[in-house]
Amino acid sequence: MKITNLKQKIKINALIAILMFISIISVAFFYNYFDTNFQSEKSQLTDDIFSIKSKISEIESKAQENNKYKEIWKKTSSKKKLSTGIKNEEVEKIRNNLAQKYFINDSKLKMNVPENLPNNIFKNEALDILYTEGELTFLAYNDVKAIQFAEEFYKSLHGYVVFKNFEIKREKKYEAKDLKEISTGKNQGHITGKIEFAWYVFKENKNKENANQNPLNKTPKETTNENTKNLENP
Amino acid sequence: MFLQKAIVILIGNNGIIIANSNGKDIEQKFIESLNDGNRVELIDFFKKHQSQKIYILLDTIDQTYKKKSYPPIKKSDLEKIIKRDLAGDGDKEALKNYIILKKTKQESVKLTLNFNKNSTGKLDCLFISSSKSQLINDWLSFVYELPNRLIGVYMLPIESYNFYQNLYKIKEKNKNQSTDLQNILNTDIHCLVIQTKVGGARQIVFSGENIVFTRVVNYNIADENFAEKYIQDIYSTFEYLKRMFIELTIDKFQIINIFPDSAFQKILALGNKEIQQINHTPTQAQEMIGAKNIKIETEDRFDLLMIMAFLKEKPILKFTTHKIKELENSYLQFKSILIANIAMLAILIFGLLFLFFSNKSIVEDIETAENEKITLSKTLSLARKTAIEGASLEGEQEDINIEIIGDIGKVEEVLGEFQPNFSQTYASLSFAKDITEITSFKYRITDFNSKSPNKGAKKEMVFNGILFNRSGTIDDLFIEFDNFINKKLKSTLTNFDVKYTEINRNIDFNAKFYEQPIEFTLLEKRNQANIEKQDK
Repeated sequence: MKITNLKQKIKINALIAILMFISIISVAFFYNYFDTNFQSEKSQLTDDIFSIKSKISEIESKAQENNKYKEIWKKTSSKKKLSTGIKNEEVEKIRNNLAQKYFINDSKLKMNVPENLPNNIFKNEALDILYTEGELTFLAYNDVKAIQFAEEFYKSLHGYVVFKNFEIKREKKYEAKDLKEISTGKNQGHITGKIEFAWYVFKENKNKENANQNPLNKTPKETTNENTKNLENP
Repeated sequence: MFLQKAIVILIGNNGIIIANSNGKDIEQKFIESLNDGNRVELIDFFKKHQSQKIYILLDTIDQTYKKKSYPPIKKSDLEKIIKRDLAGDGDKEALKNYIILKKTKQESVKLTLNFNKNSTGKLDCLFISSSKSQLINDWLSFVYELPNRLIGVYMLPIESYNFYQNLYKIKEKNKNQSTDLQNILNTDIHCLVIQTKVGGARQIVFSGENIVFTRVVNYNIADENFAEKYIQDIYSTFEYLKRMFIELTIDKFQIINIFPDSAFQKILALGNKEIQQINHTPTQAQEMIGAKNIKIETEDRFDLLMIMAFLKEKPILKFTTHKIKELENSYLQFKSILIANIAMLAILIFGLLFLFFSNKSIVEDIETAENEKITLSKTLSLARKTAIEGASLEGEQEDINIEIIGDIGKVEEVLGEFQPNFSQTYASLSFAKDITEITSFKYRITDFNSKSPNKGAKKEMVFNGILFNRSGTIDDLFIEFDNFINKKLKSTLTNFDVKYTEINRNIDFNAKFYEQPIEFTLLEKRNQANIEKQDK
């Protein structure tokens, strides 16, 4: 075998070897490049899918919750939904009207300054919740009027009123002279009453962009007090 | 018999045989010499078989075999010394090599020979050289220019050991040993007498596995006085061997002839009983070495037998020249790069396939993921749409934002349950208006924190009053009390647990009791459904 031919073959093969090596390196590089990109893309897609699933789940959960609240909404009276805040003069007016209606004397209402309930309690998003505490004391001629007064006072207030404590007590029995005095207006009644209540009302939050104005801030219709009609002195 | 695929150029002083083995058959060509007349034809022949490697086998007369003893030293050191001795030899151009002779096993040696004797621990080395005659030079120069790969140059006498051992299968431990083999094993010095077409008649002497010496003899089978010359030559050889093997006797000197039957008959006709000799005709020898099926021409039979034995076994001793070494190194480089290229090609193909399938797999994964994403996105859009559609409440005076609905719903869930129901309860006590008189009434919610309203606060109503007993007797008082509490109160107000203060037992039984103070508390029952609702 000619040494020159052999050396020529060695050169050609060495060249092929170099090309082959470069090709292998290129394949390895491309594999790494594509693999990294594909893996990154796949990882991104997996994240997206997870995110979408989470959103779907969240939306479904939210929708379920919304459905629940919609049902509650339908059953909730318009008066509770009002977001007109707490106005002292309105409450006083209600008290006076009801006192006249149920022959209530010496009624006194004390109310704290309303304040915002922290959002973390009800996790409210669109509306703020104002709350206050108050105490209403009064004198009534009988227990039925006292209870009717208390109940209608409860129903006359918009939002949510919680009677923490309601108490009526007959201080002494009526005698003939008491009845005479009542007819002349000198006796204000032997039934003392006291209501301690907490009052929660909604208030529109103007800082929240998406919060629509509560369309229910209309003057509530007077609710008929059917329950109190049946109330009789036990 | 399977032979190595190769071309063997057997060069002798009487001509050259070129044998081409394809593994099963041998194609052979005899030429008297290399000249301009046949050079072109030969080049064409070699080009036609350029993938075949070439062995050059020398059966020339100018081969010398010289033994030298060395002191017992390490083999690596010995080899260094031997190489130095070889390099110091006068003829720099000659083909030279050496064999470190194997020690003869004592059990198999019936004679105490001084050749290769290990009593002194000396190491013996046989130097073999062949001057590069014009004949050899011409052939080497010719072969260098051929496209075939030259493996090396070999000496026929040395390589004839393969023929010799193949003849009797000496290395095989066969229990059914032939008489000839038993004779061989019972003797220590064996003299193979052959006659090739290219080299003429030759004696090759073996001791165990070692070649002792070789020489070309000057007789010819065709000569009239061949037998006499043959016998005379055998005795000369025996005498020569006696110098090396002092205790060698003629009965321990075994002659193995590869002669035609006619030639052996001539030897037998002389009636010499002293010389131990075996004769195999070339046909028998061909059969004995297992090459029965290979068709060869009668004239060159023995030359081809030697070539077959050479191609069948691993060559024993290679002789190289500077050019052969250079060719060998270059070939090694070429082969290494070629193997590396093949390996890299395999890696490349594997890598490409892996890249293809891996990418295909990952692309499929991505497609699946994308499809899933699209499907989920549609589901999400639908859910959003549904949510947006449901995000307001239609049918009211105007659409209401769901967040407002949510806020109000959350408050209603908690505070909605605190609606006072005392008026109904109070009214339901009307059944007792004839027997009681209520003096005070309390309604309260326990565990209620205004700043952090919570579900589950309990409502209770406390009544204080007077129970009337018209007869005034103790018995009636207890009956009235029991009737009021257990029969009337509890059965009427089933939604409440009733707690009450018992009548004092430590009272005057003679006294009259027309009025008895009473106190009872109504605790609203929380039924299971309400509890679950509140827990949610």
